[in-house]
Amino acid sequence: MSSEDATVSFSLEINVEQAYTEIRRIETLLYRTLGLIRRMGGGDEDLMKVVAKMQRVISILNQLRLAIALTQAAFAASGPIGWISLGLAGIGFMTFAMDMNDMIYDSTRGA
Amino acid sequence: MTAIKMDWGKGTIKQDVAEIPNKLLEGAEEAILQIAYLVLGLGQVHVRVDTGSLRDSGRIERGGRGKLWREVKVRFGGYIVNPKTGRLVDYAAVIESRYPYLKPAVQEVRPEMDEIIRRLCLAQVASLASVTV
Repeated sequence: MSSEDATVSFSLEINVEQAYTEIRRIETLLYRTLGLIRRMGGGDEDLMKVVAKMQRVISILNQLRLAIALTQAAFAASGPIGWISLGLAGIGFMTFAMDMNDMIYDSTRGA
Repeated sequence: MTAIKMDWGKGTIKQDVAEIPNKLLEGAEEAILQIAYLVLGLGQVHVRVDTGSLRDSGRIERGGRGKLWREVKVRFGGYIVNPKTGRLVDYAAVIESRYPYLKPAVQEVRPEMDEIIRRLCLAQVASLASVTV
């Protein structure tokens, strides 16, 4: 048994790869929304258009919430806590999942 | 329940959305490091001591400096020479199996882990100009 083998350790790992993927989707939606706003032009305060714009923003922010939730899930999915210890098979394996019930609101000031 | 509010009027929403994964990674890294220090400290409290070599061999190792992931390890063993044997500490796993010190440390910190990660991730996201938590 080498001295390295004889060590005992507790490992924590995080990975935000899935969050990146979700953020890319959100960005696409965001660009589309901005395009829509530009097409609507300034000065037009037609209620239905404003409502439509708000709905898009809410949709984006809901996706953002999903991205954050997926990041939390990634903690669990990527095996964030594992035991690597020689001859200690009984020590076990733990995972943790963040329990974050976040609400995302949008604030459509200006625009 | 935590509210995350994004201010559309700030004009930085595009940059902020793009920055969110980095902020989450920063927050999560800070969190696992904080957790690791707690586990290390408690492990050093729980471990049986003769020469103190095993206790002193406890340390934190950082790895996984890739773009999207980080790794932090709390390790006991090696690193320190035991004055009685003249060898590096080579009995960390044996002592853990007989008189657990690392496992109880993890179990003690376990209830706090989720909250530490949640708090530090949110703090990082909240640092973005258009985001209020």
